[in-house]
Amino acid sequence: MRYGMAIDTRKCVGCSDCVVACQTENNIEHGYARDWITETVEGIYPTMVLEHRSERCNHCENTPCVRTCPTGASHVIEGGIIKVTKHECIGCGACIESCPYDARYFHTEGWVDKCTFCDHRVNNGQDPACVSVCPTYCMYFGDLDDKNSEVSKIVASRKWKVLAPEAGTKPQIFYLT
Amino acid sequence: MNYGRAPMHTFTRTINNPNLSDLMSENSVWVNPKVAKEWELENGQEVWLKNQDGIISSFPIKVRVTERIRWDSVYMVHGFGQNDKRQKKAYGKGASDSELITHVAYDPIMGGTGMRSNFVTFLTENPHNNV
Repeated sequence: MRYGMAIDTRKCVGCSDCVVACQTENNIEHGYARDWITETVEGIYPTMVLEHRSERCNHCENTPCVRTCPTGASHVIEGGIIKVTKHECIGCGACIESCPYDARYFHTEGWVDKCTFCDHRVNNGQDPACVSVCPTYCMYFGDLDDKNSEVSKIVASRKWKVLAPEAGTKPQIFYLT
Repeated sequence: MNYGRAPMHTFTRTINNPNLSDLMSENSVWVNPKVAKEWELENGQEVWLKNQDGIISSFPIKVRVTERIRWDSVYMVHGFGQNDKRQKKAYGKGASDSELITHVAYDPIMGGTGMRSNFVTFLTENPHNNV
């Protein structure tokens, strides 16, 4: 079992519905977000290439955040989801510094918060909140170890890239290009 | 001047919504880098827009220098530039494209309207003394 996500950058319009869905599903404090939209433009006007990406914790296989955590609050659960136990977190911020994706932030109560792949929904057989609300259906979520899952099929059949491959973290979010 | 929509907003009626105004609280005027260089505009600089009939936008709008727009046009998202103070989150954020649309082209046969038929220039100094 290895949960992963594929996001189609050609379908994403950058509407930020995933951001609002996450904020309401997980009761994120106002002004904070666990996922966000990035827009990149390459080239100059008539031939430029535009890309919208919905970014979040990549739930890496090789986890700098879990390694640097001095108390064991950052941990990996079944399916490769990385979570933070808030009562064990001392708020030292080592994981925030070690994350190449800047996916973690300080909660105002002092602990570190991040994307959980909505494990409370996934364990009930539902998709994460961001995936389920996407109006263009550009996000795919599932088990990458299962060859017949929708996400494995699309990752096998399409060209994709991962973010910050030079960090060697083996991220589990694939951006289809 | 072109106008259009943003995917998170439904015209003016959602700009005071706390969640959505968090995502996008004001509009910006998209300017091609070539034009920005000529006018010495910088990203985030506030300008006022003046159209061909001398109408000046009530509120300043921030410049966004981007390759996503041609050098002969500017673009802004419709729905911003709220002038009702009761809309606390939205009041005075961004500029309104509708107040600059003073020229409307009509199709003589089926009556369709073309409202992307206005021309604007940038004012870098505040034209409203009382603001």
